[in-house]
Amino acid sequence: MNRPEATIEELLGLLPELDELEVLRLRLVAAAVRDPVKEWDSSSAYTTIDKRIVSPEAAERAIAEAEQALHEHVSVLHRGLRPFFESFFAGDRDAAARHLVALGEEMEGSGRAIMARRCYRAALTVSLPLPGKGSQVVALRRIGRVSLNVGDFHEAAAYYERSAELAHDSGDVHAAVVARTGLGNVLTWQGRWAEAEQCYHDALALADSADAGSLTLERGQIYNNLANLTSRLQRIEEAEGWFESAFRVWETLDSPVDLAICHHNHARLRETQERWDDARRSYEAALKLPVSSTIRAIVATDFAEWWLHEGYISQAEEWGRVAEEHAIASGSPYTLGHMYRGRGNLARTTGAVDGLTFYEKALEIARSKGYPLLEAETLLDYAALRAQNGGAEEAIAYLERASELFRDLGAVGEVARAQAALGELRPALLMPDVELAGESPLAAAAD
Amino acid sequence: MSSKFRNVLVAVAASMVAFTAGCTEAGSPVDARPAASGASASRSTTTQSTGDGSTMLASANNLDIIAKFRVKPQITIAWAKAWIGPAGGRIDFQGFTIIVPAGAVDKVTQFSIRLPVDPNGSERVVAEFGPHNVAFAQPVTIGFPFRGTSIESDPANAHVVWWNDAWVNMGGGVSADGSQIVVQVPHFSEYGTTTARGGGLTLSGG
Repeated sequence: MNRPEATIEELLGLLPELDELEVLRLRLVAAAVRDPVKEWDSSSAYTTIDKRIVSPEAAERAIAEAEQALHEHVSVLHRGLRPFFESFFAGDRDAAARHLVALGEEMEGSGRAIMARRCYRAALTVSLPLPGKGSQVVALRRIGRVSLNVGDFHEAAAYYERSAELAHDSGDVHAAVVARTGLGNVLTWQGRWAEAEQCYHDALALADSADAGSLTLERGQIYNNLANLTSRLQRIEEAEGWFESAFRVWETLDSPVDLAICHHNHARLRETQERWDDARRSYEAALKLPVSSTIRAIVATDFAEWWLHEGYISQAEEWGRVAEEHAIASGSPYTLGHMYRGRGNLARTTGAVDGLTFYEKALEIARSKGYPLLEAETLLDYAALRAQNGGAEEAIAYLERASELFRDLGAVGEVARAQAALGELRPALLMPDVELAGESPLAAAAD
Repeated sequence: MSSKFRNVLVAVAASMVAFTAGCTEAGSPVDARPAASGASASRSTTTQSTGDGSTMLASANNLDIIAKFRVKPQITIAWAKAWIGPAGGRIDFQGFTIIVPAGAVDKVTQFSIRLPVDPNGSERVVAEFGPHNVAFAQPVTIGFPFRGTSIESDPANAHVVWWNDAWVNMGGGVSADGSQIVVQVPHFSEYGTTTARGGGLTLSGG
């Protein structure tokens, strides 16, 4: 029997589990589209990536593209190994290790994080017997970075820490600053914000101990991170100061990624201050810069919410689509989870009925990977959906958990918001008629 | 942002137009203006009495009973909001109106009108009103488009309904100029929630 299409979930389940087919899996995911027949389906989870459909033609195109990409990948891999062998046979083990690191960076740049980590591990093995620790320090740090990007926090922290120690023992201030910044980032992701802040301050003190005029990039990056952290901790005046320092660095130093991150976090601060037009300008500035899919997806998700806040639904949806496209391309679980949370908010605000699916997906990612901030923010938004559909009890449970998570993070503003929402909902539970909630006809309109 | 959809008040006729009570903090700002006078509501009848003075509409958990626009409006901005104080004021948005008389609120309060933007919902004469959780000291008048809708030919049966697990008839009638169905209400909804704007995490270096 001919089949006009299959769900991406079904196809991925049928593919043999071969590493070589990873590219094909990604291409199939990218080729999958919403099932038009279920466009207004109110109950299924068709809207999440794994439930979308792929036509035979799209599958054929995905195979051709994957084959081509695999050919190119194999060429890059082998081309990258030639200088490694040359250095190795020439007795230059340090250069050999650095070639493997370079190969890993190429893999990382093309979105193959796991392969990159394998290259970095190979570089680490090659570098271990060397008396000079430079290549070992870099390899350790790179493993930390990739592990952080794929959500393996414990591994990331362990490698960054080892890299920082080794760099410190070798008197390599630059490497120590970078590794400590990386460790601060891991702690931020884990929600250990107080420790993260200390880590950034340690890194900054180290950077300040270096020659004047050196480590400008590293200082700017630490300013960025401290600006972000103090904003989230609601120490606004301090945050403004860090942003000022960071922007001063990016005025003279060309680092589009860091500048984009600075603009993005600045936009978030301006939103907290309800300076919406300033926030918009910052988002737009961030999105103009050439950045990775991960950053673009995160910024686009937040910018979509900015449009939503202003009441412009079509623009919000447009940016939501941009976010989705880049989140898929990024392969970053956090980015995907953040994007799903944003889509959930969009669905909730427009009265579409698939908000629940999106929130559940975001929660699944946040919990499986351990992103406490994402989990708390999703719960806060999800609670609103539950409440508006009459589930006051569930909403209260979500808000209590979100409040707990935010409190652990030290996110003062968010704790206050969760508490305010709880204050509104709790009395509602005491009103018997409030518990007898029905479906909204506005929501039903999407069926 | 916040929203609340439990109780839905929409305007309906021949059915009806309908409204949902709720709230939102989002939207495009609309200037508050002094309240216009005279938008009074006339009562109309519907199907079944609940015995408490209100009337229930039978088995209407869908939008089929709700009036449609003859020409579907192109809605790209989903809602409007305005701060209105004790002096009163009004919001007009896509033919929908909130008229707040003097003394209805004792402090400056954000009022909002939100419309569905999905293809099925936006063709219906339906809106969500905010704020939630506020009992007005004087009834507030809400108005819905009437001219240019599928119920225009049957003004006698035009009325507003409110969703509370079933459509509840709120009465209402056609305004003096024939452009709207209007009704007075003491509040928009019982409760709501507030949510935060969570932002993505982006970090530098490492």
